[in-house]
Amino acid sequence: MLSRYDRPVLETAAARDAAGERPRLAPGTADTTDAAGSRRAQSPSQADARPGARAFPLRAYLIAMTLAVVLPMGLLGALAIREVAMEFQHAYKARLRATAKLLGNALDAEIQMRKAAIMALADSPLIDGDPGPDLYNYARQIGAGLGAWVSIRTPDRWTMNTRLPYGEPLRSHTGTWDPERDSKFHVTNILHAPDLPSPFVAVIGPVFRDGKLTARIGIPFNDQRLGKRLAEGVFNGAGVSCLLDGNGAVIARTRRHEEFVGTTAPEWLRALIASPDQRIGTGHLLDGGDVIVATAHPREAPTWTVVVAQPVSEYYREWFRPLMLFAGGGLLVILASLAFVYWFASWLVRPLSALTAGAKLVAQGRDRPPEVNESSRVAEFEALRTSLNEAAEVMDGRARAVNVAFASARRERNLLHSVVNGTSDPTFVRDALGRLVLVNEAGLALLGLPATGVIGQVRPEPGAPADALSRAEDVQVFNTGLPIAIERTVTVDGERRTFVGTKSPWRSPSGDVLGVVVIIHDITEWKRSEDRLRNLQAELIRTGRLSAMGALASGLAHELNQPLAAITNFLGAARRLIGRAASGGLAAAEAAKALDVASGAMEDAAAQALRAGAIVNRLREFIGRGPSSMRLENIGELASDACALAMPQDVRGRVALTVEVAPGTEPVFVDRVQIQQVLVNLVLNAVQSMRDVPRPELRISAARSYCGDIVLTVTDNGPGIPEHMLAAIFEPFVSTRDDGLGMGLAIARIIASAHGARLSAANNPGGGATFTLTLPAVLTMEAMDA
Amino acid sequence: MPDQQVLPHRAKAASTETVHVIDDDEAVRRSLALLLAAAGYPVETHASAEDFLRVATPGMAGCAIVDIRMPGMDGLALQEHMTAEGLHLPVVVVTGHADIALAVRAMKAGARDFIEKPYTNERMIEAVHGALDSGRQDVARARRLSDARSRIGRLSGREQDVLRELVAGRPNKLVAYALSISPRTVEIHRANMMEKLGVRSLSEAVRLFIAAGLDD
Repeated sequence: MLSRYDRPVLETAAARDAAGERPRLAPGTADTTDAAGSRRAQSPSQADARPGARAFPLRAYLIAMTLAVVLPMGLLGALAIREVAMEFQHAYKARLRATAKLLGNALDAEIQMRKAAIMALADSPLIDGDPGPDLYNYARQIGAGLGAWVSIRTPDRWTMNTRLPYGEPLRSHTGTWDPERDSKFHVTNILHAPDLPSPFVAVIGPVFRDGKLTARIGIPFNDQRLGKRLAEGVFNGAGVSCLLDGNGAVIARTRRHEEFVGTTAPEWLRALIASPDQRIGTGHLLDGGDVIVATAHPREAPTWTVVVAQPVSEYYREWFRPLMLFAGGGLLVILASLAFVYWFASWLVRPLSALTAGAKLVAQGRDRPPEVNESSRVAEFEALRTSLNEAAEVMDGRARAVNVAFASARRERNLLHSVVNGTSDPTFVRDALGRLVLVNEAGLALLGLPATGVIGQVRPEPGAPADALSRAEDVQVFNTGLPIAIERTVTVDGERRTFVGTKSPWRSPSGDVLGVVVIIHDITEWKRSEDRLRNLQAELIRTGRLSAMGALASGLAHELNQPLAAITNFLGAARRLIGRAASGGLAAAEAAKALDVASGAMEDAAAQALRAGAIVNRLREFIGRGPSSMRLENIGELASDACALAMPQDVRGRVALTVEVAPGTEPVFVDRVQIQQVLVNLVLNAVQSMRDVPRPELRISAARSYCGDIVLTVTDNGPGIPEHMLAAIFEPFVSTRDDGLGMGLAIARIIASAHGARLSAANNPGGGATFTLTLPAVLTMEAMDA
Repeated sequence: MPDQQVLPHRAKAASTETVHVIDDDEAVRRSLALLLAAAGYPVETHASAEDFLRVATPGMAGCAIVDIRMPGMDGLALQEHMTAEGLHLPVVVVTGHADIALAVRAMKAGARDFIEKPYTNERMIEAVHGALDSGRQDVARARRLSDARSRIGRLSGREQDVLRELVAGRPNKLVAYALSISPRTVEIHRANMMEKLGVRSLSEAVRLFIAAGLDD
């Protein structure tokens, strides 16, 4: 019935415990799976929440790495290829230029042959006079050697041309007379003769007579020969070579000569020729498309220009093919390496993916990731895999531990419930406001409460004089955090009963005091039996004392007989002396002396009687029937008195006794009679044990131990305690003596514990036994009560 | 060390007889000495057995009163020492009531008497008297013994043999047979022996022989 009410309380407490001990659990959820689930759900979101962590696959990094290596190399390769290409270009252009130069040289040879012919003709005297057939023939002969005709012209007198029949005058002059120009050898630009179908060019040379220009001789170029010469210098079949005059008109051409001769060269070509430095250029030819050209001027004809043209396409083909080959090869290598890297990265990542999949499974709710058996060839990954597997083991163990912990928490909750209700001691827990948090069935019965509806109520504590007091006690526990114990005597059903209540703090895991746990125990019976036990113990101690008395008896009898014998003797002597003095048989002086001695003897007798009285007193004090009383006593005095009691005179003479009391031993707070009983017992035992020892030594010492206790030792040099009895020497009915009852030491130990003292026995290394009585420095109240 | 004599004792015949009180308790020792002195005995007191042994001499007369319980050497040990040193002083042992067993042992060891504490003055004086008496008898007996022994010691070996046979109660003839001598020779030895011993009859010679303690 009650469980309905205090179970929720217990559960709340357990939940609070769980929340406090494991703060990462979501508060308010004590359920295993929920808490674990929330924990699992939390971790990935935490990972996502990390700012600025954009993740790329490992593959991308590997590829980027490869690119970082390969691209500069590719760049270097490209540069090298470019260098090579330029080399090719240069070589091509050089070859082109060399061809142009070669053609120029060939032209020079032609021109020089004509110059030689002209010089030969100019030296001929035939030219000086009027033109005759000899001259004509001669000139014609020279011209025929060159495959050309010869023209001779004087400034004013006459002209002759061997292409015409002898004497036939030239209908028109193709060139003008310019003495300054004509006084040197030179070549003409394109000339048009009306009688000739095609224009032509010629070499003009002067004829000097007496330093005076008299005539000029011209020999033209044969088209065939020029074309042949040019063809010799053509670069290859696709190209075209041509010769231009000073005006840029075409003199000769290797292809389509007839079509182009006399036409002016394109503008770009003329510009190229005009610029003094450039020998190479590109442009568009009417028949050849885009071309690259190299130019050269023959030495003998500086105004002329030899042009060697090749199609640009061919030029490009010349160097572009190897370049493309290199570039393509390089690209192929890069792609291949990238592909390899991609595959390699995939291969590397595969075990990682397996591990990730396992981890994901955990995130999705599996208790432990599946073991990944696929080993990696990468040491780090392998280490990761093995350590993840180990971590999985640990997680598994931890999960099991958590399950066990929750199970045990549940079990403990039930256990607490059972224990609290199982005890007959009224038990309840109050919070800071005095409201009941937990109460067991016995508590309900004691408080006289109904079984329902008491949780959360404020109820006075039974036996408290006023509720305020129990509140004050609660507040004390709250403030100090220390448990307290209260004893109260209450009249229950007309009978006085004694209760002991302990109030201890109920702490949160962080140590705050949440409430007060009150456990009340009825100690009436216990108190009664304790009283009985105490009386019995006191009786036992007294009996022990009486039995010790028996042991003391013979010694005491001797001790007491001594003064009695002395008294008898003294009195007898006195009587005799007085009798003799009274008989009158003596002289007056002798009688007086006898009376004097007799009086002394009687004084002695009186002193001996007092001595006997002191012995009897000491004995009576030892028996001490009165109630025990604790007083401050001098420990050294106690020891000496005990020796006086336990060691009769003859024993004292026989046994070498040392009593040492260290100066630091203040008076002890003890019951004199009881402690003396212990000491008498110890001394008696020691003396008894040393009966057969030739030089018995008894040593009693009192000193203060390092922790303030008073340590009293009784040491003898007897045979010691047999090893098999050492442990049981303080048990009742255990004695080393055949006639011993075995009660003395048992009682001594009872007395010691009643004083809060310890009594122990040990054998000395050099023989004999030592009994140690350790009296506490600070005596507790219980010891004073005892 | 002997205490001073407390009182002049009565001048008696045996003036060398001294009562030695040996007790460790000063009061008992002093009171006993006073009592015995008052009773007329010369007394010397000793605080311990050792003290007494230091001053004791074999020839001393008197008696010793010894407390059986003493530190150091106790009464029994003292008796043993006295016997060992040839001190034939009669010993009176004083005991407590619990020491009866000890007292019996002391008696067996040759103590003359034992007194249990507490004792009356008369009992003590009586015991001292008895002890002194027996001491005197001991002295007389010792003197007789030494006299008999010296007389028998004067006989020749053969005469002693003859005497021993005669003490055994044998007639002359059997003596002669046992000693392998003639009866005549036995008679001569017998006459010489009687004369040397100074006895008139055989029975006297036999008594002398027994007194010398040779009849064992």
